[in-house]
Amino acid sequence: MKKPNYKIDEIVLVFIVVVIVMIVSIFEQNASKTIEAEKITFLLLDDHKLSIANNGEVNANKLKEVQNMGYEELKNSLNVKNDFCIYIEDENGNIILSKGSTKLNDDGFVCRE
Amino acid sequence: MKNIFKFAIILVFVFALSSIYVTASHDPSDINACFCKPGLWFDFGPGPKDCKGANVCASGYTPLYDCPFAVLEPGINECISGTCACNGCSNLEGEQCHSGCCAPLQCSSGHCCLVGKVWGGDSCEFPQECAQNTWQNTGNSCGNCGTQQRFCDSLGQWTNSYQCANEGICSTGSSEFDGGCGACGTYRRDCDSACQWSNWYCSGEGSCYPGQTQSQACGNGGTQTRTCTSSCGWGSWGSCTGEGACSPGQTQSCGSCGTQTCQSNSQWGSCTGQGVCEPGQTDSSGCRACKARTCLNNCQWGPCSSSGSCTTGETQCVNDRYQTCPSCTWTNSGTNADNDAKDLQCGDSLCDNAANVYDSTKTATETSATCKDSLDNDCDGKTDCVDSDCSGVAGCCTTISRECKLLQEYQFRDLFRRCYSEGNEAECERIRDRINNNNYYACPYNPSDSSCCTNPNSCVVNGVCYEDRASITLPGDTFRLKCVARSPGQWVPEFEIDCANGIDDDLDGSTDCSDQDCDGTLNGYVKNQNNQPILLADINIKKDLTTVKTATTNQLGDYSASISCGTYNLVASHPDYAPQTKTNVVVLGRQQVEANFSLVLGTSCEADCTYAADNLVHASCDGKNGCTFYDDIAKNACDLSQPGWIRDYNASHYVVCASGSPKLKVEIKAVVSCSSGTLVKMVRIVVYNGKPVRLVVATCG
Repeated sequence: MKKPNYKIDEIVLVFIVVVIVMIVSIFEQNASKTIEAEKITFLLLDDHKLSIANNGEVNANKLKEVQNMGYEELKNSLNVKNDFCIYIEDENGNIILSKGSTKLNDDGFVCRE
Repeated sequence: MKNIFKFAIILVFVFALSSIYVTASHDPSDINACFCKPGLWFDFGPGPKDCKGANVCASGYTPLYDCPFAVLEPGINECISGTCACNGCSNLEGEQCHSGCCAPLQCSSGHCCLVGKVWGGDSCEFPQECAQNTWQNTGNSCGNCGTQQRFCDSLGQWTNSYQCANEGICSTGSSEFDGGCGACGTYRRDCDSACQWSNWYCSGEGSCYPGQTQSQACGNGGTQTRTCTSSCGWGSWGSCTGEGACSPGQTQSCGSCGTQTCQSNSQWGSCTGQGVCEPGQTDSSGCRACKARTCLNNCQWGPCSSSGSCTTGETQCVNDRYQTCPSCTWTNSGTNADNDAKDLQCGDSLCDNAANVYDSTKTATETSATCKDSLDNDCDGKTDCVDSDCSGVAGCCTTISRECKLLQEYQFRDLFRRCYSEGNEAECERIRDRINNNNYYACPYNPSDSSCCTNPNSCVVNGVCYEDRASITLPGDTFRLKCVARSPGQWVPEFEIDCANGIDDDLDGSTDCSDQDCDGTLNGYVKNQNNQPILLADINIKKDLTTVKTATTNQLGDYSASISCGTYNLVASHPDYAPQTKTNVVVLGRQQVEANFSLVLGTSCEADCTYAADNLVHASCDGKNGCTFYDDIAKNACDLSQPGWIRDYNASHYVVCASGSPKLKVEIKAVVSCSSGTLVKMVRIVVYNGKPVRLVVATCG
């Protein structure tokens, strides 16, 4: 049986293609997350039934509604796939309110349901 | 027998020796054959003396007595019959000299005295050498100019005691030094020949004192200085300074054939004997026009002679060039703008020199072919695109006239009302004139005012091109104008002309009531049922349910608020009165609307400390209608906040407005992480409870 006779250039080409595919895949994943974060931000701040703000000012009643929702319920309402965490912090970085997945929790204080 | 014999021989030998010895001592010529040892005679009296066996005499001689000096002299001491005796002379000092004295005595004044002594009457004495018990000068000098003295004892004999008397206080020739003096000198005194110190004097001085300076004249009245060194010697002379310019008495030539002499101060004196000019110098001032004179070697002016080619004021045409004589020289001064080598003054009649006079090189009008040649081809004074002949030609300007927007009479009347309300009498007067003259143009109409503008979409005023949206004010005109550049541009008033036409008239991005130009005024008063003015009543001006503006009444109960034209709901509130609402109040553009309120006693405060008419917490509602604050600090913190807002109570506590109690601030920093995948965070600034906060959305997956 005759052994396939590949040239070095062809092997290098295949390798480059694989690398490009991997890089694109990684970027797409990150882009996906970025898009989802933007989507959540958009839904929370712009005209939407879950919007908690109007003209940049948080509506306390709407915020209370969102707070009263369960995380999975909120996730389904927002129609996003990735886990997320929403929190409001003051000018000193102190948490005022938070809601989100425990998967993004690091010390047990932030983004618990 | 032998022993006897030996003994005998010995005896014989001893005897023989003894015999030899005795024989020798017995010799009368040998006075020392018998003598006594000095000092062994104890009995010193007259008569034979016994040597007491201490002396040895020759056999047959007997020692007699002691001779004091143990010297037996021949003829004086001798042995007589074995006895040594004197030969009859006195041998004791002091004895009278009967038969002479035995040596070493000698007779002195009839008494025997030792040699050197003399008979003193009682005893032999040495003769007196000096004054007894005195110091006597020996005649020798000693010590420091002293005199040697020897002591004479009580016997008048010299002793060996010497002393040096009358010494001075120093050694001749010696010196003493003590301390510095004078110019690096030392105090000194010298011991003189009398061994006495001289007075102190300063010796070894230098020639000057350190730092001392000395000057002397040098050079031409100069001065040079030298300075005394630290060793009190003069240093070398310094350089000669301050020298004058010359040596006194020296002379030199100066100026214009003049002479000057050096003065005693080494400065040149004044220059005398000068002439009136410098040799070779020329001058025309001293001569008639276009003549000049030259200065001679004796510094006097020579005669005037002609200078230049012409006389000032003369003119001429030479080869069609016009020349004048501005300074005694012919100079081309003609006008030859067309460069045809012939000046206007010499008969050239080309249009560059005389407008509207054509010659063969010129054309009747500018053409597209000549609009870029930088020449005024038609001699109308305008070149290329500036010439209206070139208007519209590619790359040239477009002639545009002043265009003013024609408004409507009612618009001017609106404007008049506005200026009237603003009290701008000058503007009102101008608007009234426009209305009276039926002149409703936005600016003074003047179709002859034009300009050639590079941008065809320009506005023109006073011959100047303006770009789109340029803003100007014509002196004395009614409005400030804005250029609305169409084709051509048109000047419009720089404000919203019509507040209800749906057009952004002044192109400022705001249309009709959205434009502040259309703001109207809401005013009125708030009184109670007794027709008394209510002070500090709040007027909330709402569009739908949103408060867009507030006003407060003054002491007369009046309020006023400038507000965009539109329809509003008004609510008057006061803590002591029940609120009152007026709905659908219409404010027309640039018009005033009056809305008055009459409140009845009660309160506008709700239980949450807000007015019924708004959603703001009012500190003034404290204690009314169930409104309470935790304390004054909380009340002040929550004033004008909204129910549920959080306000700082102090550095460590917060309150939830309006009636919440202080709660400890819990500060937790946000920490999010993504164990698998990438963490993406989006941050937006939003207002929460009246404060800007960050809304963060983080995703992970």
